[in-house]
Amino acid sequence: MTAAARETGRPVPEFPGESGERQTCEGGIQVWLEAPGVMRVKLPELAEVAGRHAAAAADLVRTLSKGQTFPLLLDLTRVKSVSRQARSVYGHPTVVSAYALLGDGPVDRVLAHYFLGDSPEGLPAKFFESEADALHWLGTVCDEP
Amino acid sequence: MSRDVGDPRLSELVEGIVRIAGGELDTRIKASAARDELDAVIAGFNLMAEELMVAQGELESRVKTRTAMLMDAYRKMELMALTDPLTQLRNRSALETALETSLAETEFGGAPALLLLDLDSFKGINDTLGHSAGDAVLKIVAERLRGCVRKADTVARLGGDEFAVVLQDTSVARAQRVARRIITALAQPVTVDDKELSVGASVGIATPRPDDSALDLMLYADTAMYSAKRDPSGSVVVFNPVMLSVRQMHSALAAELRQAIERNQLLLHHQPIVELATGALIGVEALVRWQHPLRGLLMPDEFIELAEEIGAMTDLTAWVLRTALAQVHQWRETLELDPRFTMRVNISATQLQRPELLDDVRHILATEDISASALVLELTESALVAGNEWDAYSFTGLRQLGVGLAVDDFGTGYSSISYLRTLPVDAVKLDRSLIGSPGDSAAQRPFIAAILQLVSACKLTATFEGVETREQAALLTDLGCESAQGYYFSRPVPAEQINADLLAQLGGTPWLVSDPVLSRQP
Repeated sequence: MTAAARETGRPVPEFPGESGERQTCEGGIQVWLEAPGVMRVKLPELAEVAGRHAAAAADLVRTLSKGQTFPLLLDLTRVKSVSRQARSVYGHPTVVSAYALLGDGPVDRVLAHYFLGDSPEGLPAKFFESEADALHWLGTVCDEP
Repeated sequence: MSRDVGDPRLSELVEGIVRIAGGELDTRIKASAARDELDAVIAGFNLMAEELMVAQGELESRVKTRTAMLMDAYRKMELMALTDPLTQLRNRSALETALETSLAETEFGGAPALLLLDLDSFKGINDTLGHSAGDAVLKIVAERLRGCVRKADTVARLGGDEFAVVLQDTSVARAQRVARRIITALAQPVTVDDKELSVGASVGIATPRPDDSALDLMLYADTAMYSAKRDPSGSVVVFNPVMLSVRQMHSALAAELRQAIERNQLLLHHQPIVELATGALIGVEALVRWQHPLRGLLMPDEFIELAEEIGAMTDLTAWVLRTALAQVHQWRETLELDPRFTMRVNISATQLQRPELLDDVRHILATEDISASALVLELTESALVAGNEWDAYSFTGLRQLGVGLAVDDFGTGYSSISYLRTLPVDAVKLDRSLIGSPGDSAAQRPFIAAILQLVSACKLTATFEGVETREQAALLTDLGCESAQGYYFSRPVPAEQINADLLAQLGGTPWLVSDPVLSRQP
């Protein structure tokens, strides 16, 4: 993703996504591919996310990515809890090229850092409290040679 | 000290930490809707508790797996340590353990019986057919032994051709029945390398007396087996305490025999071999004696078998050869010996099996400066008949060296007369039993004549043993027998009694003086 694309918000012609439409899977997790090429996952507020919910979301991510890798923004704002099994589903380097976590407040921060601790070595991963900062960081990380 | 009781979540956190410390890793604390720093600590606490629980679970599972692997390896090692690798029977150590367990449970499980068995002539199978054939026989024996006992009984191979069976809760009579069943099972022909063999065994049986240990019982069974081996009538013998004292005496004698050579307690007596036609002393047979400090002069039949058993035969043979040839050397300096004079030394079947025998003989001949032709080794007929490639090696080597070979005690073995032709020897010593008792020499005449003719036809020279009377000597002379040996000429005597007087006395050929009885024979 380039800075120009982010500024204009115009879709990139070769963009392989499904038009950015949000899809909801088991447990209320929403997944969509956002122009210009960021995979978005939103955990529902106050939800207790279990392994099977995360697995369903991961399947959807794989379907949408069609064999390509994308930076992923996982929004866990105000989620109640995320099980260990659910954490282990995220951050697969075969599907995800970088991994930004978005939250709000100290509880989200703590939860997010458990995700970060579980993410595979070598995969760029960071917690943010601002969506814009997260998207910017993903753009920066993915543009690096 | 002030105490902040403002927020109940703090108390819950303290309680939670206490429970975790007490091992309740499933402790979780409910966060509030505030999602403030304290809720963040609670979230962190819950996550850490979960991590801890998972880590401990993994650790426990890993410990369990590793312990199972270790136990499995231990069981395999234990099995290996308790199993005889060739036959897959239990080994000595496992047998001892089984026996100890049975003895400890005697009160409520009944007393066990121990059978020890040793295969007869197994060494012969190994020597003639090779070790792989021997191993095949041992495996078959193991299988048959297993087939003769119950599952609860223990069958073990103690080493070599020695086996043991622990029969649980078994009386002497029942143990004897099992032992006989084993003997019968082993007697069934065994086919190895297309050869049919028969395996015999000697069995010793022992049952425990109160307070007997496993080792006591093994000693008893071994003693009984030892007795069975020596008893030609019985291959199954039950232990009797008397056997122990006989064996202890035997062991004491064995220990003394080992020292007899270095303590100079052995000595040689010599029995003249006389040329019948001339009375010339053409040789002596060296006969070993043991001057025992307490038991007096012991004859070879009292200790040769023992020497074989304890592996002292090699040293004993070397001593006899050295002493006998040194004696020839000395006589040559003091006596006018016949140029054909030979020293006759008995050699056992086991010595013929030693490839080193040839070197020993060569070395001793050289050391004593005696030509090989002055030495004749006498071998029993059975040693020759049961010969194998090692015997053949020794025979060939000795003959090439120039050492004479003679069959001893011919007529007592089982070989056919025609076998005489194929024997790798130069001379035959005919056993005293062929000449009959002193009174009936005349009646034996045709029989002896036939034997002598046979020996001559085989191009062998004949020496008759056991000549006790003038009549026998005269008869043999008349029939053309070359030489003879026996009390009539001289008993076995110490070296100093082989002297000029004896030579003169024999030279007078008193047996050739005409006898009215003999002269009437055809």
